[in-house]
Amino acid sequence: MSITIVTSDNEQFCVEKLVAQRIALIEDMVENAGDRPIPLPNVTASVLRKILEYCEHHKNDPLPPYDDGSRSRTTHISEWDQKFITVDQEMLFEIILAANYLEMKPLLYVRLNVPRVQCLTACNAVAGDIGCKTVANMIKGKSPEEIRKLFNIVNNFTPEEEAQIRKEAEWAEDR
Amino acid sequence: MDEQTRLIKQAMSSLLSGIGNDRNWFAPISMLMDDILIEIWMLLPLRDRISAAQVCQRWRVVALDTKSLWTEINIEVFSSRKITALLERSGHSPLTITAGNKKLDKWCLNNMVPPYPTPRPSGLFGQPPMPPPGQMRPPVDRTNLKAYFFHQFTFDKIIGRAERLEAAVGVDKSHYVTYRTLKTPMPYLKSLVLREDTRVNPWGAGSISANQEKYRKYREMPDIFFGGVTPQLREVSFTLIHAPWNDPIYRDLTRLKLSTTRTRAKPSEMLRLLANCPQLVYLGIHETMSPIVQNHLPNLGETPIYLDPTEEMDMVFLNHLKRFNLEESDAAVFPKLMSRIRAPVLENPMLLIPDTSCLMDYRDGGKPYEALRLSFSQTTGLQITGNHGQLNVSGVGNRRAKSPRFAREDGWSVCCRPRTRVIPTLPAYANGNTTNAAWNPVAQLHPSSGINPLCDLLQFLHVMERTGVVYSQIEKLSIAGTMDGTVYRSVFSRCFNLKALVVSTAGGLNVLKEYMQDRHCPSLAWLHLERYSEPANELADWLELRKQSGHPLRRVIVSVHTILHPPNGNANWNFAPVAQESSTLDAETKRRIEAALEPGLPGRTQRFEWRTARPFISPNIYDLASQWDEEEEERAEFEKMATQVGLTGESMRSVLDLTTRGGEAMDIVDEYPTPTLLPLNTDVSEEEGIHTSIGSPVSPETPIPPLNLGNMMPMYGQTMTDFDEDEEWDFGFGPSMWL
Repeated sequence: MSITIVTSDNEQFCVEKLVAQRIALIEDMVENAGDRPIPLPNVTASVLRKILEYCEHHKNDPLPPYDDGSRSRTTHISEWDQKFITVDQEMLFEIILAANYLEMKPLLYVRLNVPRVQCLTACNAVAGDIGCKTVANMIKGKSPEEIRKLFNIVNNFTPEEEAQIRKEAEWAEDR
Repeated sequence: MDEQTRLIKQAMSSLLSGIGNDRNWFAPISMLMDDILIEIWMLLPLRDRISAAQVCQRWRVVALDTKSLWTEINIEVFSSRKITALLERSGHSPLTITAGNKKLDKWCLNNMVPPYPTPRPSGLFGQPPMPPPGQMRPPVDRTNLKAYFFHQFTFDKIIGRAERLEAAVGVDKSHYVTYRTLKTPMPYLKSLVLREDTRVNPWGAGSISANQEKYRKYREMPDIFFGGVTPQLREVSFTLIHAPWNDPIYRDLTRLKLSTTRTRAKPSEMLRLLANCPQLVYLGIHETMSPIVQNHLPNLGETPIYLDPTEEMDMVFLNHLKRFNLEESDAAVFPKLMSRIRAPVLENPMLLIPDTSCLMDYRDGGKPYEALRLSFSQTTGLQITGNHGQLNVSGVGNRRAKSPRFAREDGWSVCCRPRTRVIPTLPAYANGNTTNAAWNPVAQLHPSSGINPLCDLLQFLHVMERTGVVYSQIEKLSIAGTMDGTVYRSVFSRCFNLKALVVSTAGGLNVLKEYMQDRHCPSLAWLHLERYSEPANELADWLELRKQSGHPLRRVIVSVHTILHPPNGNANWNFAPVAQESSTLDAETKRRIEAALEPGLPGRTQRFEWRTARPFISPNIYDLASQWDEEEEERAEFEKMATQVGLTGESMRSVLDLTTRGGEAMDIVDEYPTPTLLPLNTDVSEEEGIHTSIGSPVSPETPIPPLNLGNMMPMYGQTMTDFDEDEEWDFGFGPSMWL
């Protein structure tokens, strides 16, 4: 059983149902769409290809052990996922946005055993977990200046704000 | 189209954050919406959140607007300036309050200072070395009166705002949380982690055993926890703390963990308590009665309550229970408890089975497992774990292992993951017969306590042989007790991947000399010899042989066996025991040992460590103790302190202002959206480094990363504590308490 998905740039993807089920939004739409192709106007082909690669790899994963939907603070990413997410920044952010749109919490947050309502609450939280974790890992331990450099951000603080930030330094390092 | 969408998104997000003309539009990261940024920051520890708020205008506006980023307060660790700033930023949001210091606890452990609960008769190792400067502080630093006063005052004020509270409840003023604190109504509280902390404050509080009577008074639980006001409470973890079964605190819980409550609750009481929380989804009962606790209890004048066979026990139905961890060291209680709990939807029972007798019965199809079969006939998975006993077969050793392997054993699924750990350690019970066990730490520390863990390791081997895969995958192994030589030979010859070995048996070196041949365990790099009593030069000889055979070790830790004698035959341990070391090290041998080791990883210069316990006791530590916990004196003392440090008038008012402003939040609870609850099942601690980063592939020259035993719970003693110096070691207080 497979499902057809159409991306924003009009590319068609034929996806196994088991794979598509990992994506909450598609799972929802399948119920209504019947046999018609499912349009995804917010996702480009290159990003969807990436996401499907992820779903394909994880389709046989055991269901995650029970937790109550509280987010894990760990920023550990498994080896395969690590390789998967090693893309340029633009692609990384695109994946996060797409995962957010597609409601795939950890780029996979499927809890078929969890009632739908609960599943949605879990998925409501934004963005792909792995994407977020990756960005978090990039930020971790860096100074503001290093973060700016990393993401190509310009320091646009006013002198007043600068003064305020300098003052913060007094307590920021305190234990 | 694609480009267009992206530009619109960028414009949107910039506008949303109230910044119009901004060059940062063109940075790819600005395509992320505010809530995604927040999501990302939420994954970061506080210091990185502070940095994030200093990156650019948009980030700052968004970060400072997000109150929930600033709600985590550690009252023991943060400075008063930091707490003030965080309270300002968090507005009226419910707080996550921690009164605990992981780093300090770790440090206590590494320096053999009792962290929790007093692992040995109090004051045994006497005054510890002072903590590294700038690194640690005592639980409550009372040398800085102003700060102390501020912290205590602030804490009392903000505790009512707590959404998550994680604290060590103390019996003296070395803790901000006392049993009296547990009377405050907690309208926001969702998650509560409490342990009784009776660690001796090495900075002055003194011995508890010397003041048993007095301390008992301070350990009285409140009649009703938090005045019965905990409408949102869903998660509770108690260690050594017990609320009566009919306390309203249990009403709506979905997660409950009870550790070592046996001193205060009978099994029947526990069942009645469980019947009182029908919504439970996660349940953990951990009754191990490790020597740590056993030593601790008599100090407080308490004895554990054991099962009365005639006792009637009700049947409990937990219709929502999905996970159940049971760690029960009393073989008699175990089947009783199991047969009285019915959990139809249980998914993943984790049974931590610490007692040998349970395992024996298992092999023979005996009672405990019969009970199990009844209770969990619906379940598909079963993990068996021993803890504090002699055996440990489980997947919990490496929580990151992704693919569990299942082995069928009598129709049971026994979960044995790769990298399964085996930790047969010192017997939890000195004499097997626990009901009348005399409190005798010497017997427990001494190898000749009459327990022979041989059978346990054999049991393990049997199980493993059936699976046929695990042997060569064992990387970390800990052995204790005296075993038959064939067992050692079999283990050493077949564990090809063994990287770390802990031998906590007296005569451990002889075992290695005799049974570990040159070609065995070629990748062994890390060795910890506990309770070492051989001459040091024999160790040097062996290490040199190992080097000659081409498999030198990388790191060796020796903990010298110290035999303790009660002074003057006084068995109550109220006085300093006499310690006697069984082995000494001279400079020449040390040099030889160091030369026989492989050069360590960069930055890890100390490859060899020789640990001795330094017995030391100051007689006046007891005098100090008597000064500390007089409730009446306390008030007067506070005022005196405040005057002394000039914390009166204006400055007092500003503290008051700040804290009461926070307190208002209690009346307007509905106006604020519920912030996301932080997870309780985090398995990587906040301080832990980033393992990988994008765009920097690991170069082939990179040395092998250090082994990581950080997730392994140490049994007691110092067996596993510093396997990896860099790993933040969590000994069960904190998020990972939920396992």
